[in-house]
Order: sequence, then structure tokens, then C-alpha cells
Amino acid sequence: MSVATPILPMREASGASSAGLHRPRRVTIDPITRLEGHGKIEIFLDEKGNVERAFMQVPELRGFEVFSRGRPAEDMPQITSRICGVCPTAHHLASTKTLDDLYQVEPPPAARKIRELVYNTFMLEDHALHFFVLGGPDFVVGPDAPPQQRNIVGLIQKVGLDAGRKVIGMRRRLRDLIAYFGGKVVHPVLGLPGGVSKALSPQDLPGFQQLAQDSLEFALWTLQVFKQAVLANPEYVKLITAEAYTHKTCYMGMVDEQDKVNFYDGKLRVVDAGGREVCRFAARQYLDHIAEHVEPWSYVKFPYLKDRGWKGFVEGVDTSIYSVAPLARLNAATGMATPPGPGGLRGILHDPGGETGPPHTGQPLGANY
Amino acid sequence: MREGNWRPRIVAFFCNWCTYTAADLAGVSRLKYAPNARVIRLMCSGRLDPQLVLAAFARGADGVLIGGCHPGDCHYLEGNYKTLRRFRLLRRLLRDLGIEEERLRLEWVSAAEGEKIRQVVTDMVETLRALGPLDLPGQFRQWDQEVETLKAQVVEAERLTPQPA
Amino acid sequence: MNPTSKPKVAFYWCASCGGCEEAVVDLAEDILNVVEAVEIVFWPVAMDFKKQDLEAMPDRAIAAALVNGAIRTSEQEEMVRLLRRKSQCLISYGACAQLGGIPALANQFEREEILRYVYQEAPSVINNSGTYPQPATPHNGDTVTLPAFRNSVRALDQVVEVDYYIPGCPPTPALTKAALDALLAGRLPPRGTVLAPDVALCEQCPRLESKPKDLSLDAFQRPHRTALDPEKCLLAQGIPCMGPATRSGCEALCIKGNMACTGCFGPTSRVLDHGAKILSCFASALAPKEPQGIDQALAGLPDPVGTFYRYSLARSLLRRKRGPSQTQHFIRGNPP
Ligand code: SF4
Ligand code: SF4
Ligand code: FES
Repeated sequence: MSVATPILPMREASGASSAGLHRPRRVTIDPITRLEGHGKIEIFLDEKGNVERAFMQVPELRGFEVFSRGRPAEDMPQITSRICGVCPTAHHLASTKTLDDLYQVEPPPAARKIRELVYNTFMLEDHALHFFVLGGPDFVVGPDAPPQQRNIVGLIQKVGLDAGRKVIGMRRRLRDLIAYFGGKVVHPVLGLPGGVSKALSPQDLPGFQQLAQDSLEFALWTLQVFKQAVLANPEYVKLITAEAYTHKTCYMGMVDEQDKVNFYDGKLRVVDAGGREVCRFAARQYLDHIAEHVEPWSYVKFPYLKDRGWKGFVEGVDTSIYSVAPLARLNAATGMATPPGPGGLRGILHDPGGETGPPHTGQPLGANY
Repeated sequence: MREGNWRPRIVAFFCNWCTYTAADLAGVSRLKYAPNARVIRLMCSGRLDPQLVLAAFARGADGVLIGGCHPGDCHYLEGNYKTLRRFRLLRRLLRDLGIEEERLRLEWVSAAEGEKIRQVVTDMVETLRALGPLDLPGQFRQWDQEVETLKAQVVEAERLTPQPA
Repeated sequence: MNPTSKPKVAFYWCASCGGCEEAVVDLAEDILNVVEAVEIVFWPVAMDFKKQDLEAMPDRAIAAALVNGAIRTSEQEEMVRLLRRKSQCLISYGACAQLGGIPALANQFEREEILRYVYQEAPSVINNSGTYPQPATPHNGDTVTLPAFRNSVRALDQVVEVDYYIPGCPPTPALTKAALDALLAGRLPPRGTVLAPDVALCEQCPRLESKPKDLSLDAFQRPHRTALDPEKCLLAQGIPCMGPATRSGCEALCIKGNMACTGCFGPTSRVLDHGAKILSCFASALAPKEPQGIDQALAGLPDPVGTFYRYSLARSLLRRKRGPSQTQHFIRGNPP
């Protein structure tokens, strides 16, 4: 669950409570929808009807920090994957890499490649999920569409059944690859200290190579959908670059030695809202750089940059709050490690406003894709 | 349950060929042993499914006593070894779930050892007395009080709200 | 078809990970048929309906509600009571709802211990003011509330009546589809049934042939310390595999990933306690006959509760760890 959840568009809020004739002082959005995790938003308005304060609350706690204690280390990749079943592969492999570190073992090259293949495949199918099922309907179906249509079903109606089948079919093939190595696609089991549990048999290779080709085409097509549905619409562009949707935090992402994006391994790099590097560290040093803050109104804790100290929910160049995930990842790196496809992603994100400096997380699109 | 007149309850699973006969002997020869044990006869200690040990605790036993033939004497050759392995693993499991290991006891008692039975039961009663009641049924009720309280509130609120058409 | 004449279906999650929602999305092409056949009226992960939409429905208006996740908070209790009231059929979906799941491993710890560690003692936390999440936080004359964090994690049927269970962490798309088809066709078995084959996983396992009738293992092995033979029964290799005590239906997915079953499908219907059942099986599979040798052989099982009840502690006969401070567990506020 991302902590820096973008504030929802206000139309969402006004639809959520009976507005009536008098202006409500309090707007409750319960539950928040189309994202993984439980949440509720309480918005308090002032006399003029402007937002005075908003609380994004997480009303539950499971306590992995506690109930993981006393368990065999090798069970952790499978236990921690239950933090999130939408991105279990991320938790599974993070935990597996921690085991490498614990046992001081380096996986053999083939095992490392299998892990990278599984992880990169996951990145692809998960982003497709987000774009087409979770966040994307806001734009593809449209922010003005009635809530009953702002979802995957409405999206398929909008883009057409064939396109819908294409998305579903591609995600299935990608997820089958994960299941090939991981046994299960939701909560895979391949991770062991220093390796993986299962090898790739040569006769299955051509199928996967074909899949790689097809998924590249799929990615380019998705980009096309994005351009047509969003960037070609000046209203949306205005919306996503508007000040109200801009949220300036620090950004954290994993980078390789050349500061390019790497999903599987590297150092964590943090930049501020102006793009300047704040720190860079190996995962095992996280306690030196990240701390967690507690608020009385949410069960979720708030991670922040330890060196900067907790400064509250403020944005800007000096904030100690950082964002993670797609936009932050791009902001924290100097580019992608592989040559960009036609109309590369980074270009897309910089184009809308044509500004310099990193795009900021409050931009609902940028943050999510 | 009032602490004052509480008596430890033991569920005893005894092998027919040895411990059960010994217990019978203890009864027949009017050896006095504490009346706290409810004896269940099995054809071999190896037939005792660990699920039943947990079920006994869950239904109110303060202790579970298993009696089988001495090593080498099991009529089915391996039954008592199986029991020994299950017992050792079960004790660890119970400990990890906050139930004192002494509440589960395994004894090898031959058919002739009526006196041993008396001793074992008396000793176990003493141990359980020192530990106090386990009372899992009471504990379950207490754990569930939080759910019952809310349930009552919800039922009351539903009674007061008109049913949407 | 007129949308309102289609049977209404709701999905909801409690203490869960979202994997069960993914499992529904993994119906892939079939989800289009589901969407065609039913009207989805509530599904937070994918649709924008709110709690008040649910409240506004007549009782029993929903044909079937599929609820995943364990129950840990008062809000989850309220939501499942609401769904129970609005639905003709309440289906427990996935291991957490059926048995407590991974979140129920927390039943080995005290409520206060969990809160203290998470918000105070964890090495990443800086909390000099000793702040804990509170049931009510004042804000300018208003209050912002949080649900109560309960003393124990519960399975769904420990809170409300459940009609059917779809097992697994998560359930497979095939089982989900079969259950939905049966539901739509009105072909459901007797209430209380777990909608998966009622035989042990070993029966479905591709390695069954190499599983000896009588095992006589010197010790249990930990998977990363052994070179695993990808063809041979894992239990026969000394790897604790939950297959013999676990319900089939997953098509032996973990085994196909060359790892042991950890028991996510729960037990078959004749089993009272999943953990005690596998304990019995593992103890029987060992060779040593005297205490010391036995304990050595069992050293490969360092965490019996976490291994035997990986998904089922809440629904086990003992339900949770018994602890010293359990007399004060229904205090609503949080420490200090
Ligand atoms: S014990 Fe495990 S590996 Fe062996 S047959 Fe059963 S499920 Fe398969
Ligand atoms: S093999 Fe076991 S743990 Fe794995 S999916 Fe099947 S039932 Fe669940
Ligand atoms: S016959 Fe007595 S223990 Fe087996």
C-alpha cells in the first residue's frame, strides 16, 4: 500500500456524501476503492467549502513485524508475500534477497536471471493491471463517468471487447510465466537463500521468447492507448498538470551503478522535489535512512527520511516525506537502462507540462504509471 | 468456576493391554487414587490421534494423561514409539501455544503396575493443582465477549432502523 | 438482459492481502462471462461503490457475497454482519476467511505485545511521544475514529454464519469458476460445504508414486539445506510437506514449483484440527525410538505452530496462544 496516496479528485468527494442544500462540513469516503488495501478518507471543510484538513486513514493492522518473529528464516519469502497479494512477487523477492544477505550467498547466474525474469514479468503484468483495472478507468472511461462505469467493465466497453481480450490474454500469459517458476502466481514459492527452487527446461524457452516479443508490442500498444485516451485530451492534460494535483515530495527508487532504473537489484536513491540527490544506500542500511512516524488516527505508520527528521505532512524541497513506485522510481533515476522504445516512457511523463525537473506525485497519472 | 472447590480434570487415554488393565487392577484392589481421571480405553496408545488430545483440552480438561506399554512391549510393535514421537512434538506445540508442558504426560505402565498408576495420577493431580485450572471453554467465552458485545449492538441498531425498500 | 434482473454479487475483503481479488481477476477471459451473468454491486478493489450503497439495499437483496480475509477489527465485524444481512448466500473465499490464514499467525502474540512492538519498539519507529492509534482522535470539535483492534484474529464463521467455503491462499480460478457456475445454476451442495475435492492433496500430486507407504525418516530437512529431487515425493526427501493433511483442489501448485505444500487449502472435512493431523503424520514418518534421537530428528521443524497451522491457527481447536494478560483484552483503547 502506498502511503503517499494521491488525494482523490473532489468530484469523488462530493459524490460520496449527500450534499443537500447546505454544504457538509465533513466528507467521508469509505471505503476508498480501486487500489489494494483498506482505507477511508475524512475531509473537513471550512466555511467557504474549501478543504481545511483531510485524513487518509488505514483502519486495520495485521502486524507482520510481530508475527514473523520466531519463524524459520526460509519461510519468510512465503509469509511476507501475504503483505500484498497484488504485488506478492515484490515482497517475495525482497525477502529472498534478504536471505541471500543473511546467509551471505550469491545466487548462481542462472538463478539470478530466473529471479529477474520473474520480477520483470511481474512488473509488466502488474502495471497492466493498474492501468487497465485499478487506476486507469478514471481516465480511459473518464473522471466524469458515473461511478458504476468507472471500472474495468466500463473500460472494456470504452476500448472495445477485442482490446479487452487482448489485455486479459496478455496478462494471463505473463502470469503463467510467473507460475511456471513460482508454482503459484499469487504468492509464488520460488525463493530460497542463494537461488530458486526450479530451473527452466530448454524446451520451454522458445515459448517465453515469443512472449517477450509479444509483450513488447503490447507495451507499445498500451502506450498508444494512453496517448489517445489521455494525452490527446487537452482537458485531461490540464487536469493532470494542474497545481491542485501536484504533490512535491522526495522520491525513492532503485538504481544501478549508472543511476538507471533497475527493478531487481541496486542501491536505493532518493532525490528531492528539485531533483537533487538526498541519499543513496544499500537496502540493508535502511534503518540508517528510513524511520517510521506514528499518528493516532491511522493504524498505518508513516515512513520518512530519518536524516531530515519528521516534519509533518508538508511538501516541498525540504520535506522528509518521500514517495515510491513508478513515478518516484523514474524521478530517482537518470533514465531507463535499456534503450527507449519509440516514444519512450520518460518522454511521455515530461511532455505534458513541458516543465523541467521531476514530475510530482500528486499528478495522479504520473504517480501511478 | 470457583477456585475453592475446583478439582483438576484429567482425561486419560490408556492402552487396553497394559495401562488400562493396571488401572482396573488399581480399582479392584481398592488402591486409593484420585478420582479426577476419566479413562478412555484404546486398543493401543498408538491409536491416540493428537487431535483428541487437543479436543480434550478444548472441552475443559486440565490435563491429559497417556498410558502405553513399555518400549518393546507394544502388541502392535511400533504403536508406543509413534506415541512417544507424537507426544514430544505435541508438548512443544502446546508450549508454543501457552499451555504448560506438564499438562500433557506420557507414562509406560505394564498391566501389573497398579501402584504406578496410583502414583502417576496422584502426582499429576498435584502438578495440575499447582498450575491451576486451564478452563479453555471459559477462556473461549471470555475471548469472544468482544464479538458478542458488538453483535448485540448491531442487532439493536438493526431493530431500530427501518428496512430499506 | 436488463441489469437489475441479474443476480447481484458482492465482493469484500477483511484482514487480507488482495490476493483473493487477484484470483477473481485471474478468471481472465472467463471474467467477461461472469460480468455478463451477474450484477456486481460492491467490490472495493475494482469498483467505486461505497458502504452506504450497501446499507441502502433491502435485506437479502444480494444473491451471493464472497468475503475474503480474516476478522481482526470491529469494522470488519460490522461489515460482515451487514453483508450477511444483505445477502442470501455468504461465501467464505480464501484461506484467511476460512481458517484465519497468515494474519492469524498473530494469534501467537498478545494484542498489547503487537501494538507495543509495531508502534514503539520496532527499530524503525521513532515515537518519543508514545503515540498509539486511538479509537477517537479529536479534530476541531469533530472526531476521527478508528475501529477497535481485537484481542484475536478470527475466521469468518467465528463471527457470522457462512454458507459455503472456497479454500486456498488464494483459491484457484478453476475452483472459483466452478463455484460461481454452480451458484448461478442453483446446483449448490449442502450448506457448510467446502467447494473443493474432499481428498488429500497427495492424491492430486504428480509425485505420489514416489511416496512410500511407510516412511522411516531419520530427520526433517530444511528446504534450503537439501538438493531437492524435482521428481520425488518431498516428504520422502525429509521435507515437511503438508500434502497428506491438506485438501486437494489446487492441482499441487507448490509441488510443481518444486516446493513443499504449506497447507493453504486447509484440511479435509473429516479433520478436526489441521495442525494436529499433520503433526501426527510427521511424527509417524520418523524412525528414531528414543527421546534424544526423536528430538534431534524434530530439530528440522523449528516452529511447529507456524508450520502446522500456517493458515489455520484461528480455526484450530486451541484458537490462539493462551497468555497472561488475557483478562483485560476487551479494553477498547490502545496502550499506554
Ligand atoms: S507428501 Fe507432498 S510431495 Fe509427497 S505426495 Fe504428498 S503432496 Fe506430493
Ligand atoms: S500445494 Fe498446498 S500450499 Fe500450495 S497451493 Fe496447494 S494447498 Fe496451497
Ligand atoms: S499395545 Fe499398548 S501401546 Fe501399543
